[in-house]
Amino acid sequence: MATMRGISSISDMLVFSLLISTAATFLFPMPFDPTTGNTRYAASYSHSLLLALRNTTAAQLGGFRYNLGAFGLDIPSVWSSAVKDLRYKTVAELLAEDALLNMKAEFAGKNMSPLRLNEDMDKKLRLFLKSALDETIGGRFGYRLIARTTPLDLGLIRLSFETTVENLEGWSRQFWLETTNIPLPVSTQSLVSVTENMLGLELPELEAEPFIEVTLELWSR
Amino acid sequence: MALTIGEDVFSALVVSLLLSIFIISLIHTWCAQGERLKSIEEFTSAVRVAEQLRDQVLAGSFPGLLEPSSGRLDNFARSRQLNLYVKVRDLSGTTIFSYGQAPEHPTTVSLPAALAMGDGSAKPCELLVGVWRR
Repeated sequence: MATMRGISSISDMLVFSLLISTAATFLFPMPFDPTTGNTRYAASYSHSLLLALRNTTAAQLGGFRYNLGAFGLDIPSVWSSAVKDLRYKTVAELLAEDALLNMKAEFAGKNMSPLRLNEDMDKKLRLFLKSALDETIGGRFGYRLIARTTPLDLGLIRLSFETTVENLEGWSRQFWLETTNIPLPVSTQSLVSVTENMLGLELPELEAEPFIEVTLELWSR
Repeated sequence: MALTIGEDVFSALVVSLLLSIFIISLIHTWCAQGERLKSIEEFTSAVRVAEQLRDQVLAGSFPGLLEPSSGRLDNFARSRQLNLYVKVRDLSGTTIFSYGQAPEHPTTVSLPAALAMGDGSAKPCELLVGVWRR
């Protein structure tokens, strides 16, 4: 009799502990995503950075100047008066100017761009942007900044612009992406008129106002 | 097989010990997760406050342009019943504007911004915000 009571007690205890374990498992909290806070911060950070680029003037980042092209001729007297100092312009305005001066023209898929007199500006602006972004982001994230216009169709001619600045060495995963639009500093009529003069062609009107789409990607390790 | 009273008691002790260890580890896990959730919530709240400061309280003439003001920060902190610590510093780390006393272990958030210089130019800077409840 004592034997049966002993075995029964042990069985009861084992069943009891099993029931408690099962109940506790059901009550165990659902796992949470530890990256929620980081994603929220990345979203806010990228938005803030794009706003800062729209407002910050080049003078506060060391100034920005470039040499106007002179058909490849190296004439010091020409160069000295052909330097453009754009320290008063914001970073966003510099991007817009770069897009306007370095627009690519294609005819039936073939590049028609004449001598690129403002290549110096594009090259220097990319270096300027990289330095500014490296200093501002300071290793918190890897980044890729892409500035591009939506392709502008003018009949057989297609205008487009794209420039990219990035620092992705050691960064493996795109974490967040934010986009903003910057208007081009000319009207569609002026843009068409300038392109007509450049290419010696008569072109149809543009329907939509052109703008630059600036995308900032933030990357994590 | 006959069981003695001693073996019966021993089994009961073993089961109780196992249960206790299980319950203690469960409580510890709940507490740790509670702490983690709390710190994420505090951080997200600090990000939200930093965005409000950037967009409304310290906003200048353009979105993203800062014009710091201690008075506006006072009003904001009072209306939200928050303790606030705000610092604006340039990219070299020099403090340009400071408000409030930083507590020992604040939850702080840093966002890039542009500071209005008054001469039409804007300087890139860092907006540091620390928030904790009164």
